[in-house]
Amino acid sequence: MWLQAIIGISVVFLALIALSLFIFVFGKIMNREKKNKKIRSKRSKADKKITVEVDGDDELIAVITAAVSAYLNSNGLSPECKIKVTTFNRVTSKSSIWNESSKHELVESL
Amino acid sequence: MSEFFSGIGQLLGNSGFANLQWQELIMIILACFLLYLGIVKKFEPLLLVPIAFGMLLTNLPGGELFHAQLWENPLQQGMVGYSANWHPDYAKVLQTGGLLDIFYIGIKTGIFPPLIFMGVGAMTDFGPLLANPKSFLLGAAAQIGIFLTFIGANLLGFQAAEAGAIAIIGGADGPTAIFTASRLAPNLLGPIAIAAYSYMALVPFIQPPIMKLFTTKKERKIVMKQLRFVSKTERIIFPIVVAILVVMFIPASAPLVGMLMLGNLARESGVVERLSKTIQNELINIVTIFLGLAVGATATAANFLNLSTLLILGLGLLAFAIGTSGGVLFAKLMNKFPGEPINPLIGSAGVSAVPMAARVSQKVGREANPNNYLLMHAMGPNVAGVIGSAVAAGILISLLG
Repeated sequence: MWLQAIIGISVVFLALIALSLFIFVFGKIMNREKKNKKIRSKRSKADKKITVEVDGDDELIAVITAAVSAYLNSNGLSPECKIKVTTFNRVTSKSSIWNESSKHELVESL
Repeated sequence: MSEFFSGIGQLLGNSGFANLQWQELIMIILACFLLYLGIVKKFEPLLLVPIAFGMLLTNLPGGELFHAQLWENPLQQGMVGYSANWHPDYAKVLQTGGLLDIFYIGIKTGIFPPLIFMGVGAMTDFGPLLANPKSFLLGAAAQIGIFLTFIGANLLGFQAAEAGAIAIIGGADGPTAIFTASRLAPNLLGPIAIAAYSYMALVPFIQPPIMKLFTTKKERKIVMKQLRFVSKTERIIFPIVVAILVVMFIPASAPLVGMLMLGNLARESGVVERLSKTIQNELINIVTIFLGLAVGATATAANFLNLSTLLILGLGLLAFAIGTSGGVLFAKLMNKFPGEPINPLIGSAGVSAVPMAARVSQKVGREANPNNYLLMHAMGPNVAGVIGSAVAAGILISLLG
């Protein structure tokens, strides 16, 4: 009985340590590749220097600017804080469910 | 006229009211109490409601929905002709069994729990675990509750296989507990499933005092580094690798781990969205209904109203408590080694109970430091706990089955 329990917990540990080591090594490899890519893509961007202009739609920009400054004011940030909206993007929900739910809980707890 | 009265009398004589035994009455009251807990107190209602209703139906005399004798070895250990390899006579079950007997085939043959696990896999995001692989250790540490309870149950006089089935309650994972119990001690399935699901619902009350007992305020305030981004490739390769490694290592865990990882692959691969949606919605819901009813059906008066049910409830609570402290203490131990500091509160999430245990870590953490957000960090040990308890189940089945 004691032996079985000791074997049991040891095998659980061994199996999960093996998995964690694998994931650790694998994560390192993946990240190194990604970093290299990032550096490369940064360089290529810097070379090209593309500027994207927001065309037209002044009204929408005005609305967003007003909304952001109202939000900042209501949170006690200095009203003199000057902002200029130059671009806006629709946020696609790429983050994970846990991320979303933690954001949700954070907002609710405020 | 006399024929009329004798007809009515015969009907009354055959009715449940005339044949009700006091044990069945107690079981009916218990089932109604569990329904109350599920519906009013919201104790894991998705499972507790079908389980309690199955329990109600099985104890209504005359309904003949479930026949425990079809599933039990008529010969007990030590009797002449006893064989450990006894199997139920499925032809007889199909011919004479009631509705719940037929549903129970899905548990007895080990189909339902892995299907539920597939749904769990499709709903689980292993990202936090991939971002911080150290979480695996916490998921393993929390399984210590299972093995210490196994010893405790042995000492209390349960047979080894029964002790293993009871101990798995400490894994805080319903399908795993049902799967293990159906393999090792089918006669205890009802009390074990009910204990597992009730304690999972009670995690917010059971865990915080233990977590606070073993940590100082300073430790509870530890803020952890933000988790790194996890790429899609990592997320896709993870379930495949886990399936290969874990199943090779512990073949008995194949049904649970295999299905868990298939569900997760369907979710992360992004190419089988329809399957992923079905797995995490319709399929798991349908199976939950059958599983719950069949588990409840095993809770007949003869199986439930005895001392072992009380012992199982006590041992289950002990298993939860030891698992929680194991996780917390192991996190403290990990802090003795160099590396990023770990808030020991996330250790308690190592007893699966996804995502309730992680929420508890978050809540207790914020009590100590209102600006501390541990939820994501606690999800790592939490999902590692699911894998850990499936591995522990596989080990128990292969050692004791």
